[in-house]
Amino acid sequence: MNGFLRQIRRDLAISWAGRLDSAVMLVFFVIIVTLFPLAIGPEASVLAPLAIPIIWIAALLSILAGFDRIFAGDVRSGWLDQVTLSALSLPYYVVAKAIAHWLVTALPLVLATPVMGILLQIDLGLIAGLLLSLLLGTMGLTLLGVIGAGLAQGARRGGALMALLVLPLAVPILIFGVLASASATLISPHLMLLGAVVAILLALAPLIGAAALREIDEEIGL
Amino acid sequence: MIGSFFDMGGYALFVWPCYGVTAIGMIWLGYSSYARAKRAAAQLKSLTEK
Amino acid sequence: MFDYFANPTRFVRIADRITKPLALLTFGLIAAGLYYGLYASPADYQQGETVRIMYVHVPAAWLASIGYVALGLSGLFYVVWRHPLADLALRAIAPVGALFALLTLITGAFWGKPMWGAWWVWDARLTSMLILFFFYLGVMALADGFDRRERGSRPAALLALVGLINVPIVKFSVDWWNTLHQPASLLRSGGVAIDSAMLLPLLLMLVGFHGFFALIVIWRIKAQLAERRIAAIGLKGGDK
Repeated sequence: MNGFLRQIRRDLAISWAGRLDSAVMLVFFVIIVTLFPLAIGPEASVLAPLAIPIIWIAALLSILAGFDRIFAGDVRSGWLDQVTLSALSLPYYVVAKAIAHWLVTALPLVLATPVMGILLQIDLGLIAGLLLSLLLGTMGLTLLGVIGAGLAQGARRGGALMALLVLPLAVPILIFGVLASASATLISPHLMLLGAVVAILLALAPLIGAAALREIDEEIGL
Repeated sequence: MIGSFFDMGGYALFVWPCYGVTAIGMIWLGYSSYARAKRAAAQLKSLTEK
Repeated sequence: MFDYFANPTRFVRIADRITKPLALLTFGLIAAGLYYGLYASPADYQQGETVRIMYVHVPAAWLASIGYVALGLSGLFYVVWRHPLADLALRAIAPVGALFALLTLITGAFWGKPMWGAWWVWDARLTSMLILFFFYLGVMALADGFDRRERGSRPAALLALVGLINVPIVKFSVDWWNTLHQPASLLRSGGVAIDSAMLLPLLLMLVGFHGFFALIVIWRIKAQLAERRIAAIGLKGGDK
């Protein structure tokens, strides 16, 4: 538990030191959202029904954009080797990375969502549902991220490949997330399905991520 | 009679491209896989029979 | 049973023996299927001659769908049991699965245009197939995405494993999405009443396509085994 919390704290400290990079991703989210009305037109009647899908896609793309930074630093600096020699087992390391990454990348995004919704003329009554679903959905996307980042770490087109790998698997999160956000009741069947998918990913991601990282560890210096 | 076969009840432009694309795809994959196996086997043979 | 094939030399020996009969059988089945499918079977009452597209569309869709299971099992064998041929099987299966997925999409479009009036509809099955096609591409890109070829085997195997669990989830979510967004005016031609005369060409093509699948996978595994040995000889310094 000690090593687990220390790993999270370490990542948060590193992210804080490079907080401009993290801020860039938030700006990326805002800009993507802004592009849609520019492309679609300012009509509230057209934008409002699209507000939720637009925010979800912008969130998806922004989170995707950060995948190649999940493990790259630790691999490059040799920290991953340290971890494999330490008492912290790889699956827990992967979960710790996911938590830190979510806090740094997804949480700011979710906090910015109400303002984004207003920009897109969203029906204000939907914001609560949207936030709840996004909280859950971004966790799922982050878990997919550690899977994708682990698998494609060290590949030639690493970042793009990670996105390519994750997108097909992200479809359920997008579908259930958007449906849950727009749902009349806060706790809808859609939200529960989203929760189920996230739960499955929570079980899967540490194992797959750890298995992938072990491979990298055996390739020291590559 | 042959004409009506190719005409496919007026749907020729839909049916034949389907079979065409399928045939091209499968023949191409089949040939390239076969050729690759043959090429590798031949190369291996020449290397091990030195 | 799979342990029996673990020895590469034995695999090649068996493969060499069954390749010719398998190829003949495959060719024969598909030829017979084409004869019955294009000529000696009736047109559909509602769909006319376009029903003949079914004889390529359905087998392609079926093989693309079981392909990812075969892919996932190969991944499992590689990651869990370290079967020596498993990663070769993985790399062999992915292109065939991808081809069948693509053919399903294309033939589906050509079938859809006369039936539904549109080249593409976001029908649940076609949409799932599109995503499955992207998944196949992902596995192929990952397997070959590293400078050192073997480095890609394990990530690709892990991804195939993830797919084994997640592709059914994707299919379920697309079904869910489709039933909720069902466009009212869409003609659902899902239920083709299968005349027994239509069943024959369908089954012939289906089994024939299976044979093709097996043939391609065998050829590609053989090729990779030989290439691996060539590379090993090259590393050891040629004709030692």
